[in-house]
Amino acid sequence: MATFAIHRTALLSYLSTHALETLPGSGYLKHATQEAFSADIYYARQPALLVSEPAKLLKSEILSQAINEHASAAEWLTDTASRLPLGDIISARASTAAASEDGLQASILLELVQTKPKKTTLSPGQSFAGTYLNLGS
Amino acid sequence: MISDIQIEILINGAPRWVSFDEPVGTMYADHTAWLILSHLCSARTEIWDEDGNRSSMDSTYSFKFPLQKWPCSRPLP
Repeated sequence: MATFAIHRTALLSYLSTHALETLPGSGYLKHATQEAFSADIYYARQPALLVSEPAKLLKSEILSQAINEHASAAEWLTDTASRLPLGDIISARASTAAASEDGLQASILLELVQTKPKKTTLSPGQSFAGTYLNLGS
Repeated sequence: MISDIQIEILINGAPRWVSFDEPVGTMYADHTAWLILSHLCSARTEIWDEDGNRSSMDSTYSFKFPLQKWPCSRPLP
C-alpha cells in the first residue's frame, strides 16, 4: 500500500530527536535513505493516522476553490486524491469536514457523482504502472 | 500489453512476460471521484443545494454505490 515519506529534517521541526528515535521501534515509522538526495527519510507505517493532516489542507483549498467554480473545484479534488496515498480517504475526510464545519455546496459533490468510472478495453501496446501480486510493482 | 492474453512486467528494470488463460479484458478509469463518494455514504452530514434544499449526505449517496458492478474501495495488497 502506498504511504507517506517524510524527510528527517521536516520531522525534527515537530519532534524531538529522542521521540524520532523511539517511533521506529514502536512501529510508527520506518527509516530509509532517499538515494537520489542521500537524505534520511521516514515512511509512515500507520498512514491512516496522518489522514487528518493533509485533509485539513485539502479542506481549506476546496473551500477557497468552491467560491469560484464548482466543476473545477471537484476536478481539483479528484486529481489531488488520485495522486496522494489514501487520497480518496483524505478527500472524503476533507469534504465532510468542509461540509460540517464551514458548509460545502452540494454542487461539488454532484459534480463528483457525475464523474462516473469508465470501462476501457485493454489493447496491445498500452503501458500501465501498478502492482502485480507476488511479483512487485 | 503484449497481446490479449500476455503482458510484460518490468521487475527492477528486467522484463518478464506473464500469460493468462483468458483475455485480460477491461479496466476502469476515472474511478477516483466515486471512491471519494463511497467514503461519504455513512457521513451524517447535511448538504444544501443552490435552492436551499437540505438533505443528508448519507441518504443522498448511500444507495448509489452498492449497486455498482465495480468495488468502491481501493484494493489492498
